[in-house]
Amino acid sequence: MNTTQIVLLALVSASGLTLLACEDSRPSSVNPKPHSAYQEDPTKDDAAQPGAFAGGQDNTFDHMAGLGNEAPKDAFEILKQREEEGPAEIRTRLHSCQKIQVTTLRSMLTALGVDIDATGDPPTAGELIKGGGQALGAANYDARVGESIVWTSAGAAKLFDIMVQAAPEIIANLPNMPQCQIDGVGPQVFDAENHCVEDAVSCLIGRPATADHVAICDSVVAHASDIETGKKIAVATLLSAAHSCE
Amino acid sequence: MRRYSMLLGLAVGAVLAASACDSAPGPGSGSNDDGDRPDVPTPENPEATRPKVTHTVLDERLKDYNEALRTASIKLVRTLPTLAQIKKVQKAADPRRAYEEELDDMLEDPRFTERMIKFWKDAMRMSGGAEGGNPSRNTAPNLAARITVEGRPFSDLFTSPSNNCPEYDGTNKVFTDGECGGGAPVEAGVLTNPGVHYQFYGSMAFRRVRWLQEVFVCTKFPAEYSDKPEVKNGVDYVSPWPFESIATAPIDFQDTKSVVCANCHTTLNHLAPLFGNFDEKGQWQNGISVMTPTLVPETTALSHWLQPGETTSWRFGEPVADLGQLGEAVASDPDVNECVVARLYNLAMSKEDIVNDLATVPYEVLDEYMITYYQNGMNLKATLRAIFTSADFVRY
Repeated sequence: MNTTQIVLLALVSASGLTLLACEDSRPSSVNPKPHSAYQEDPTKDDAAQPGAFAGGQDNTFDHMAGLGNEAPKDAFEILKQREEEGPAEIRTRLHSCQKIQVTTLRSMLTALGVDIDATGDPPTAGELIKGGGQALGAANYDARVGESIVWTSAGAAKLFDIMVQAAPEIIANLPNMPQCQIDGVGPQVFDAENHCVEDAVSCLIGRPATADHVAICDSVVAHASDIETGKKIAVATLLSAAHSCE
Repeated sequence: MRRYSMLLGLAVGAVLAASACDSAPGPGSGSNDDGDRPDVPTPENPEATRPKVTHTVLDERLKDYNEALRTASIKLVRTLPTLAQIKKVQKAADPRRAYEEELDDMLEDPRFTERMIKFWKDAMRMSGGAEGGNPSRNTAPNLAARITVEGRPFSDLFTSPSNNCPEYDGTNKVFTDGECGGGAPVEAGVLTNPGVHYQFYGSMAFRRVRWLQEVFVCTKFPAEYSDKPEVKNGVDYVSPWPFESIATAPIDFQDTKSVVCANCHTTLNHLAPLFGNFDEKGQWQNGISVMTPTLVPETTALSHWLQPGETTSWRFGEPVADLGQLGEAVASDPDVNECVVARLYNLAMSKEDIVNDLATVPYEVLDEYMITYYQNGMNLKATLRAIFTSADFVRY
């Protein structure tokens, strides 16, 4: 038995002792065990279990928490969130932050000059969208689950990745995109002095660019390791910040 | 409309009361004019002593039609506004009018149709083409979207007698007519849609009833509450139905040992038989075609849901003999109509799911849109326009 095996054996033994020591400890939750199908007689299948369908604490009929297969939310967590948000007659009249829908993200980037079908290594923006459906909260209709309305951390991070990968294409193609053209002429994203162009920023963020928007954009370009990297980061930053919410 | 009559009555009463009290010191003003009365609500009169709110975060919002344009564009046609649209609203002498012109164009855009199809797919939790002998799960959302974009009464979703399974031609951007062909003796909008019954097939048709309740009433079960709850076997029974109206065998729906099954199942069991003849593929059969999960599963019989003599009903006191009558009852239910308007409002204001996240909309916020909805013949597109032009939507 070599040293590694001895260490592993010691760890396994220690884990076992720890488990034994904890056997009599009180559960930390009122429902400490994960849900499992009722099984009075393991030699028979569920439907043939004696008493399988009688009422009882552990064996009432399996009621779905929701129409779909998504994990149910804790009602007390929802209540806590609503209390933080304030009275219903106030909070419901304020805009909340809804996740950008996957189709919206795709059409938005396409309109700004991104080829969603392009492939590459590292993956292109289009590939990240196509492969990131789950992180982006795409619908799973077979499981009776519609598209998610709210962000997850993974989804928001994925959005930022997508914007970073989309930025070079947008910088190159934006002037040629009808989305950003006035009378057939579109703005360059950056001028000859590598400053951000106001109209291009407006087109990227979907609202009139303010002096602050342009200043932030310029600042990102100027403070990056090099100008070209700064331009990509600036565009990705504007897009990510502007479109985190619908 | 019954709640609306009540609301109007209350509103008139409130105006009269306010007029009568104009010169009197306002209760709860914080001045403690009548002695030591605390400025906190009491259980007996929760509103009377609450300090008057004069300034809220709502007053801090600013009207921004360009922001409204961006939000509306993303929500209604799923893309950013063009630079030309942005500049039009930005430079307009009347930005509200410029925004509303763009909004009206969006509501006529084919991309709005596709957005509504997606909206209804997500709301109904179903999508997918017909394949392998299974029916299309697109046609029910398509019907809802078609009713929305064509400005037809929302009630058609539950009462339309034909052409209830349209497909959408994505190339030509049009709906194509289609009959469901599910074999139901009477067609009733999405209530007889084979795709719905395929997608939500389950024991004793309960999942189909839950779909109807959660998607179109916007609440989970229990769906009904009695004015006078009773105690049964030492626990609260809140349903208005007679406790003994539902079956006790082979499943004891009157069981109270763990939870009070009857609180939900009195409503569920009076509805489920209406959906019981649709089989696993969503096709109507002459007999009941769902299963009861007994020790050895067996085909459900009416007696598995209800006691002898009981009849199917939408709600207590609202019997419905078939799916056609169910459609009429659902379509005229105020809760159903408030639910769809609340869903549209939540779409506009980026709220969470009204059922799973309890993102409900209070009556005082919803009522102005309900008036628009009813005044325009249950027209969802007109209601959406009212929401997207509202004072709340254009303020950030």
